[in-house]
Amino acid sequence: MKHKPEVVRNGKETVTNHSLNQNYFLKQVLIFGTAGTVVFALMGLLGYVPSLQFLGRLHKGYVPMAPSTAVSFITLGGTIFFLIIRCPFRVILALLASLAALVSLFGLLEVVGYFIGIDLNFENAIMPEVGYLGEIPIARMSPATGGVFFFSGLAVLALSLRRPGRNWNAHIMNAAGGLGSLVLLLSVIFCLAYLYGTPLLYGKGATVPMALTTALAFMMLGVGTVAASGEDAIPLKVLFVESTRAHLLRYFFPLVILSVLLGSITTIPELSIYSINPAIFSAIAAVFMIILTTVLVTWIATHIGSSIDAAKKALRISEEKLHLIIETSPDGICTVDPLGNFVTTNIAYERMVGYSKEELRGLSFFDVTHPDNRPKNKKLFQDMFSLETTDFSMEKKYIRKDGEEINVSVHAIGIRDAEGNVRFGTAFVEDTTERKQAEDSLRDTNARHSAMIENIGDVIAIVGADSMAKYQSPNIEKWFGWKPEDLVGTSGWDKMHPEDIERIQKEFGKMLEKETASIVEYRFKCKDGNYKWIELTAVNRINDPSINGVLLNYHDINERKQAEEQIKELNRTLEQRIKDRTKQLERANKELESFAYSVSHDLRAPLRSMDGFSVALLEDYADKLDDQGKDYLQRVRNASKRMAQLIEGILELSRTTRSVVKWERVNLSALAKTIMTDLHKSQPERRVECNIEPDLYANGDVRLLRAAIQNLLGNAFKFTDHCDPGKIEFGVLPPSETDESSQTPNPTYFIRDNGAGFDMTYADKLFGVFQRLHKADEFPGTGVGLATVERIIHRHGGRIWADAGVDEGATFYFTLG
Amino acid sequence: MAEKIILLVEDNPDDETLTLRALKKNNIKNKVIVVRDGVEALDYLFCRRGYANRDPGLPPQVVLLDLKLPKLDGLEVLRQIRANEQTKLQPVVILTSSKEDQDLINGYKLGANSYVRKPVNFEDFSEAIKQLGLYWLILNEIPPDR
Repeated sequence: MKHKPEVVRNGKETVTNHSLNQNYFLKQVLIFGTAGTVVFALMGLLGYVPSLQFLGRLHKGYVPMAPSTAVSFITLGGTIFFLIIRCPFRVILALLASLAALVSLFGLLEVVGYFIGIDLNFENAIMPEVGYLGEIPIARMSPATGGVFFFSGLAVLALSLRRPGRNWNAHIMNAAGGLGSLVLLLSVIFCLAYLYGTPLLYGKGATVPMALTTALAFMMLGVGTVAASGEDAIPLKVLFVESTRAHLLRYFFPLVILSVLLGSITTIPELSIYSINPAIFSAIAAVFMIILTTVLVTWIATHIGSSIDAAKKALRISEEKLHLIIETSPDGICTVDPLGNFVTTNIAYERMVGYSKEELRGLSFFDVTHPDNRPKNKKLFQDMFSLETTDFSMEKKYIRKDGEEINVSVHAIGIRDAEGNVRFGTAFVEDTTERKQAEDSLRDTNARHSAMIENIGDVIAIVGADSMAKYQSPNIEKWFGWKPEDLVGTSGWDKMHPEDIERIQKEFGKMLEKETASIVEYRFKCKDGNYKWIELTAVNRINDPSINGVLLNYHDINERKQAEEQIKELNRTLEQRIKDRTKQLERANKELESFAYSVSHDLRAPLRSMDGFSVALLEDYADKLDDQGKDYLQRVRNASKRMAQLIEGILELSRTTRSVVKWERVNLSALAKTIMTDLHKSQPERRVECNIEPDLYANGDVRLLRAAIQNLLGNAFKFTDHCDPGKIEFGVLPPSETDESSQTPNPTYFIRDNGAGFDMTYADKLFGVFQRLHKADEFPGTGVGLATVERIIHRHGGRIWADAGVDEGATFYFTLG
Repeated sequence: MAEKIILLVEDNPDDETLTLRALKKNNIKNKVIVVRDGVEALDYLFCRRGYANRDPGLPPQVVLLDLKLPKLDGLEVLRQIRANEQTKLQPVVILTSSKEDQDLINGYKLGANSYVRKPVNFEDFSEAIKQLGLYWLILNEIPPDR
């Protein structure tokens, strides 16, 4: 596996690099300072080697570094060194910290001893006096050195207490940095004094002055300590912080130091040894200083000025961008002062309220706010300025310049100044009128849909693929007693009749697979525990995100189902009933046949006897009978004849019922013509005009139809007996005059005569058996003829009816099938 | 020439009397054998039981057969006449009150030579008997002896 170095990105990268560079630089300085300290200390020690005296004094007129001083430097430098390398041994660190503290204490005692006149020179015990420089004893620590050591020791002690992450760490580091700076400052004073040729404390009796090497070592130690205290502590914090001030300071601080140092160079007595006129030297130095300072200042000005210009330019571009963004924002944006008066507004805002930018300058946002919203708005606005709340949101109404009201959604933010006080309020305003209208419309639509769902006959439901109900429409209560919440979250199988579950589950699975609709019927358990048959339509809408389930609608079909069950039951028994009824009919038919048979055979025989023996009496006993007796016998004969006719009629009638209809095409015109010819022949003396429409065909039983037409024409012939001429007509009605109730194209035939007719009051009796509308002596007949005709017409599936008036003739209409 | 016999199969004594009267009235003097039921009719024709001594070589010139008869009805009698080798050609006239289709059809089907309906009116009845006598006894020739 290849490990890639972690890449740090963008802004963070630069920041981190910057900080790394600084750390690196500081570390260099730290090492330089620490190493320098130790180097000067070693030089001080080496100065006691007779041939290397120069190293300890640097100048024959100066005192060398005291050995105790050198040891103290090495102790402090070593301590810092171990701190740098982050020595893992706490014991060593603790030991070094103790030594630093000891050095500090030692230095303090040196100073105290000097002021109270007690020589605490411990060196005397360990180091013999090396000699004197004038009155000054050599190899003895200066009280000034001791004082500086006091601060240095404390600084190093503070450094050794470094504990990053602790809240007091910053204070400790500040202390270390501050003490380090003090040491640096003091060392510089001593160094400069040497540089200017008037070293401090020289020529003051036996007081030991600070050696030049010591001063230089202190300078190094100061630098090291300051560097070790880090960039986050005083004094480096001031230089390294990312601000223009620090930036300028970083440039000018070294410049000032440099110019001061250079400016004082002319006063250094050692330089005047080069036999140059001091005035000229000063002039040259001054000119050099001017040139150098000018160059440096120009360089700094250019460098800093261009960076400031760039920053300004960037700021301007950024501001322009911001302005553009604000102006082109689709949301209205405005800034107001603490009184609510408009300070800035963008185009969208101006468009929203209908005022121009200039008009808005003289207005407060309260002016465009609907009066109903003002109190609440005022409270929120004031709270934003006075309380901790920095922003608020509210839905409110604006009144535009043209008076129109619009709905807006406002989000306001308090803009704080450097002190944290809110100076302005900026509001982001969205016109929600359309959205609100859409919401209202959606709400209306939803309400309408809900009302529809609640009032239709079907219950609507949605179930998941797991059959769990997600929704049940409220009208379920009306039909089945359940409330929607009773069923939502329960499985559909819970309320299903156990006998139906397997069948419906199969169907449900099929529907889910094929993504189709299916209609099922099953028994649904009502709240009262009864089962009701329902018809349920299921539509698979699993893939429809708005439904994500199976859409069901179902309704109560219990009554229908019960009716169906009854029909099924009836159908089951119907066949048997038909069989039974057919048997009954067959039996009745058989009985009728045998009855007719015996009537035919047996009823006539006695009549024949009556007639026959009456004749026998009349013939054989004529001499013994008077006229009245003969008349009586004649009446017996008439009665038997009439009886025979009636029997004949009844048999004819029963024959039309009993015989099987043989369907064939029948020429009615030909039938009628034949019958009329026969009738003419029976009474050739009568004048009867007969008009038979030719080519009338019908489907039917020729024998039965002949009997029917025979009866009708016979009647017409009979009842026109008194007319001269009698008129008889047989035809068919044109389609338009066909019976109004008949939608079928079956023709309506008619037989019309101009005879006696009849009273329509008795029309209902016309087709009854043995019903007669005329007296027997007027028109003979049995009263069976029309009954027979009606039965024949009915057997052909037709109807027959009549239209007549007394002495106005009669018309019989009939249809066939 | 042998005597031409009429076999009248009639169970109703009134009809028998009227038939005989009609024959007499119309001067038909042939011998009339009257039997009162189907079995007796067959006994006569097949020369059985009471008619065992009758000469089978002298069949009736015509049988006037009523249909409604005790014991065996007329159609059954006719069927047996036609089924018997001896009598299968015997002229048989059905003389009955019935005009039922089934009787007419079955009568002809079984081989009746004629079907005459007895009218109720005596004059008509008498005329029918007269015509029958004239036709079957005088005009019509029966098949030769078998």
